[in-house]
Amino acid sequence: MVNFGVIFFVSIGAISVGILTAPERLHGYDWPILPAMIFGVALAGAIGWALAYPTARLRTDYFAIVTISLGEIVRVLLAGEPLLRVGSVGSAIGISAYPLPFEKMWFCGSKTPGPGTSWAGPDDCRDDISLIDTPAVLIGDLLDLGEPAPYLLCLMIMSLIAVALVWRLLSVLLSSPWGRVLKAIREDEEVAQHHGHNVLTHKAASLALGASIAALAGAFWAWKLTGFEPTFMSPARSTFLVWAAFVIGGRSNNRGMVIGAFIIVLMEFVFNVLVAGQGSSDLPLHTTAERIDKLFEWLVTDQWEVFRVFAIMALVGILSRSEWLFDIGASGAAIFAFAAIAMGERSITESFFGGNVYADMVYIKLLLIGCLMLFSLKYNSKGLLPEVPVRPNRPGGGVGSE
Amino acid sequence: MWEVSKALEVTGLRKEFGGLVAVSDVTFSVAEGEFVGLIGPNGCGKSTTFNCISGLLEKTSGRIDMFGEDISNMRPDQIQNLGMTRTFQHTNLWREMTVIENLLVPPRKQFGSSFLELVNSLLFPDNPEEVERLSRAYEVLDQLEVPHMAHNMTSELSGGQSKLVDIGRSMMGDPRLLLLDEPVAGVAGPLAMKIFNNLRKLVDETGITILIIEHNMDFVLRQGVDRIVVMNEGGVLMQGTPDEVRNNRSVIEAYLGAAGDSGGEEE
Repeated sequence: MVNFGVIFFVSIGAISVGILTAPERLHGYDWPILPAMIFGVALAGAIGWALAYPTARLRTDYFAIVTISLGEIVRVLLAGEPLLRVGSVGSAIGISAYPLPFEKMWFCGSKTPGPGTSWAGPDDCRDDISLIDTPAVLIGDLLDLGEPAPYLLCLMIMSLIAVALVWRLLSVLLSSPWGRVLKAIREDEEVAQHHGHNVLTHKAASLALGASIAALAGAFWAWKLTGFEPTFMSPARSTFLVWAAFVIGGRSNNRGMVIGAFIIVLMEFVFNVLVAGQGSSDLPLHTTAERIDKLFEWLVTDQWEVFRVFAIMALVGILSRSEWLFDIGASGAAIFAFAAIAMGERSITESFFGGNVYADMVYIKLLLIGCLMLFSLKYNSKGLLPEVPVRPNRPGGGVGSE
Repeated sequence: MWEVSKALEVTGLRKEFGGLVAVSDVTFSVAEGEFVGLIGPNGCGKSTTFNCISGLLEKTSGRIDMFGEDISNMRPDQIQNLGMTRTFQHTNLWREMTVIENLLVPPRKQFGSSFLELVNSLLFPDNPEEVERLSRAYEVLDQLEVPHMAHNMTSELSGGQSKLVDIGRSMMGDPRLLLLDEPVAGVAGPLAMKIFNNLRKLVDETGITILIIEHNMDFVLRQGVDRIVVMNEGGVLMQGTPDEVRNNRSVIEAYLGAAGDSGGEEE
């Protein structure tokens, strides 16, 4: 089933953890973190299960549309619904001011912050240089950071553990009879039903499992963001990146999925550095960012020149009888000829403040991820690591094949 | 008539697609341990009858009993759990899976019958039941004389090989009633004959019941089945032993042509 509702289930996890653990004076419920997380995961699982019954009979594409719209519904709710505001004052939207797991232990060690002590919260512990035996300080020394290690490191360790656990669970399930039945349903659900498996129940269970894992990820995301507003749910930033990781890394292969996720996250990171590098020459990747800007500026301002390049490409394509070269050249030339005629000097000065043309890296990143996905689908449709066929041997040592 | 327990009893089955009546008033029964052929010209409703029996299609009216139980309104998986397995005319193996994996999907009670057994089956894939299923799957492949194909992807198999694996897969569900829809179409002659003989042996030795749609008249009319149900234009034309069918004038007119009398090469 094509579940484009990843962000929906992620947000269920994030919102439950945020609302349940935030302090009561800020309209939260003051739950401890672990029960809140378990509640979020269980809630997402239950919703996933219930969702399967009305929707799983739909055809793949309709199911995808339903799941996308669910995510959007939550996003709009988050923007408009006062009950979904926690830790904020007045008309501010979003959820914040919820505690982070192990944050006290990380910064305060064995000391307990609170009223009557010299630390009001973890932040004070971090800034207190007299505290020396906290994990943050110890790890900061170990890594030679010169300051207490940031909380992100603690969160990273926790999420690595979570990934390892989820990985283990999924590989066990995949090699169980259930994994086999799910594969059979993926290949042909009608036949699977005729061989004695209730497709609806299995779909519901798998949707519930996926939803729970997404909710767990949502809880971690909430802790990483330390506060979130509706924009964090934009599908272009979440669901489709998850799917890009899935397509690039390899379907039905856990290892491929993790590799795909790393590729996407790495790209995010590089582009975040690029955005910073655009602004100042001291930062890394400044020259790269400058070059991208130059290229972009050339594309936008010298359209006739770009048109000429593409036209030459098309001409070479005709002469060398290379169809794809001609296709690229001709369509590029057409686009830029149109742009040159339609866009005047004024549209450039109005689009770019002060006439300084610079590339918006966020969009370039999405463009690149899109290209990567297209390339992956066309030339490597099974992903970097394809599915590993299951080939159990005859029990008792007999030779099964070859 | 004496009382023979019925494996399958179809009463007044009717199926309409929109205004088109595909099957009307089909009534026949199959006794336990019987090997019955279902024949008829193309488009006479044989496969539709199968689809209604197995729960794939919702019938317009009629009643279907299997081993004394009314299965008229059951889902395909419930019917399979009661002991029926069917194959499809177009072989639908699960393509991106190996042959042995295909065989391991149908066995019943894979997830145990209690919550504990369910957890056990999910988290400990090496449990004894699983090992037993695996050796049974290899036995089935041995019977079909294709154990060397166990590790192939089914998408790599030829049409005839796929048919074999399909038969093997239906055996894995331990059916008491097997519905085969042209199981050997596209399988080379000698092998097809061998498969028929194996099916015959299966019926004689294990007492399962088989209902088979087949166009190979040589087998159906001369050496294989116990009884034949002939369909024509959405209804049952006649039922009887192969000899009776071969000499029935209306059957010859509707379907067999000259083949009934002489050789039986009608395709």
